[in-house]
Amino acid sequence: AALQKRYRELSGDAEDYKKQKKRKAPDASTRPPNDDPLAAPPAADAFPPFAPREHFRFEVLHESKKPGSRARVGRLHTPHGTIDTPCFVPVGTNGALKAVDAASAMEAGVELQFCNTYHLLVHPGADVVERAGGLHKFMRRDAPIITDSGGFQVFSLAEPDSDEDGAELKQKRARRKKDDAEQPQHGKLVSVNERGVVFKSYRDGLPIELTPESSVAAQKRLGADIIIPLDELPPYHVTRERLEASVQLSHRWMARSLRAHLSDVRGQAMYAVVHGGVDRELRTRSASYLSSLPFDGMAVGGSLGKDRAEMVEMLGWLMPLLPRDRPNHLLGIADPESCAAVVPLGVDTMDSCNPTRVARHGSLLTTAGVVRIGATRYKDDHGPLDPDCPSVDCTRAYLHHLFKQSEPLALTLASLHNIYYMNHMMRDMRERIMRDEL
Amino acid sequence: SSRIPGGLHKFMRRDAPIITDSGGFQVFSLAEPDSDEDGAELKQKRARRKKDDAEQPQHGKLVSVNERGVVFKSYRDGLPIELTPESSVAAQKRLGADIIIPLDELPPYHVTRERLEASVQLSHRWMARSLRAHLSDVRGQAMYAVVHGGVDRELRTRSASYLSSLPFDGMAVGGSLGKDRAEMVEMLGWLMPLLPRDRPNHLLGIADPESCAAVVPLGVDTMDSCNPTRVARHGSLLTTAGVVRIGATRYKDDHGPLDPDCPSVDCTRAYLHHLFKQSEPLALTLASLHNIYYMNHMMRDMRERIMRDEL
Repeated sequence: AALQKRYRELSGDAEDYKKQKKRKAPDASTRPPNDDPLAAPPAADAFPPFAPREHFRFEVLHESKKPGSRARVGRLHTPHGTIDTPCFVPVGTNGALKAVDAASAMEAGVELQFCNTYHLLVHPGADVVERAGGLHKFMRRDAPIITDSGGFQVFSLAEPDSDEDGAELKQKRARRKKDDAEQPQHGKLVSVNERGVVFKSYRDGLPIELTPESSVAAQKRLGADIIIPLDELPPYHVTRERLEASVQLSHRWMARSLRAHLSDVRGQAMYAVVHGGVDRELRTRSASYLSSLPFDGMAVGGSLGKDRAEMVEMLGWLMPLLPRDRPNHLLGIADPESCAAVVPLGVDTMDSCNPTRVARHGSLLTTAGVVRIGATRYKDDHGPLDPDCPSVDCTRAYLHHLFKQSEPLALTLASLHNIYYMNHMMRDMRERIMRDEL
Repeated sequence: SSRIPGGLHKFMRRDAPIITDSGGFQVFSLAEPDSDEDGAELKQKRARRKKDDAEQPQHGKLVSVNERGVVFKSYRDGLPIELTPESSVAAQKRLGADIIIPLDELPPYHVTRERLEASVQLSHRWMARSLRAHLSDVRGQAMYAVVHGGVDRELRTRSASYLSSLPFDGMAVGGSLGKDRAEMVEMLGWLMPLLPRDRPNHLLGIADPESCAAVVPLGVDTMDSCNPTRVARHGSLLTTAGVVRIGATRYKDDHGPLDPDCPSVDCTRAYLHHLFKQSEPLALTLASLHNIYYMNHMMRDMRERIMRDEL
């Protein structure tokens, strides 16, 4: 009985799930319309037309006049503050940046922070965060926050050796597996159907259902400024048929999410997620359909190829298909080289764990390249971490020392430095766009 | 070791007072394979501390002790490091702390009286050499003596008397203070009056909240310990209403402050509970900071009560 109560708390959909569980066969809500996996989602005329909102506005300050560039400097206005774009968005998975408190993050210039709904659903649950007054109050961040639907982790962590950046270029996967500090947080994907997904909490093994509607409801309780609808993330290697069905399912889910969102906007903005893997035709259709709906912005999700070159090529033809008057967001890719590559293609905001993760492993991002602070040559180097980028008040020798002695403070100072650096880099890019140099 | 341009204050960006010890304590207490940082701390929770996953075992091996000094093996690279009264002072001169401590010997808890007396005399000879080295190059630092003698009243009295007669800037109390807090309080009860009233004193390695409350009325001025910050990292918050084990389920939905009667970090109980449950590193930071706020709040409160003659 206690378990059932807990389950109800988490899914918010008690009665339906109980009924579903008792039936031998899945009920109609788990099957696509007319049993057709390629069934079309609702057309645009089923929704009100797009219009900028009072609480969420994207101002394009300057479009680069450099030939061939689609870069633009913009400003996003949200209920919790403004965001200068292009902008790097660090990821605070559990409603916290690893080893960095909210006040320090603000000082380091974090204008938009990403939090994962999946982990917050597992602990402490959307209800607790709601009773805290929402995510901003819970984590003491009085500045913009974006949450995802929970879908990404559900699908990517289902694999036993997946990790947080399923979509990140997987160059250093083996090394990441040796992360001692990163607690393995693997849930098990139980089912995916028209209705939604069911996965097992990695905390207590209880099933958690995630539907378009319940994900929106959870994100309403969390109260982020920008929210993302549930989408399906197909594996990298899929047949075209499967990929097409996945895109259509995601579209149907996103239409349901948008409807749920529009019925109770609560000062939030919702971004669509363009899918289609590496298939140009599917991507084009996805961009076209989702652009026709009144989403406040467009995120790019799913697989973008096997390496950065493929990603750049893809975004080269994909970004122009997105509406210029709405902000866009690149999901899960924001290491420094990728940022430099995608900003000229017109990306406005981009999130990734990468800069803060590499920091925890002793790699400082600097204007002169990566500094592996554990190297012996820094033991007696009493200069700043990056002479050309002001960051934390700390010398290379000191940070080297903290890493060598396994002091927790090393994680904090290194992570903060990399955040300062990423913001410095983005600010520099914005200035160059203003001067038409990028 | 060696060169820290600007010294410890600049190295760690702390522009406020710092005190360093001689190196002797760890040499002697970490020499034992299952010793840990608070050899002198009342060893109530030793078994639990052994399970510290985050605490890297840092055990050096004691190689030799003689009139000259000690030799131990570095836990980093196994190389021998010699520590003499003079070299410890020289190192502390380079580190540049405001208060420095001379090399002393820390005998094991169970020793014969003969061994203990020899140890006290050795420590005295070492401390005299240290003081001489210090006075030849004061460099704006203060040196505290370390009173020894274990639980032996006569040896303690002699140690206090001899060291007080030398021009040390303050008196630290080191070595074993008994097997539990009651014994420690009893000892300090007759020991503290033997120390000069016009110089500051320092209690080495004991400063958990209950001990602080017990020793302040006995005349202790400053006291150091890893305890408040260590228990923080393990999820125990020190509060005006007692210890709050923040991982307990009842705090999951508690959106009040960590301690309603002691302002500290801007964070709710529910949030800190959540961070611990999800093993977020930020939990360590916020909990440690809270306990530091709390200890300072507690000491400030004690100072005020002393001013009002209530303590």
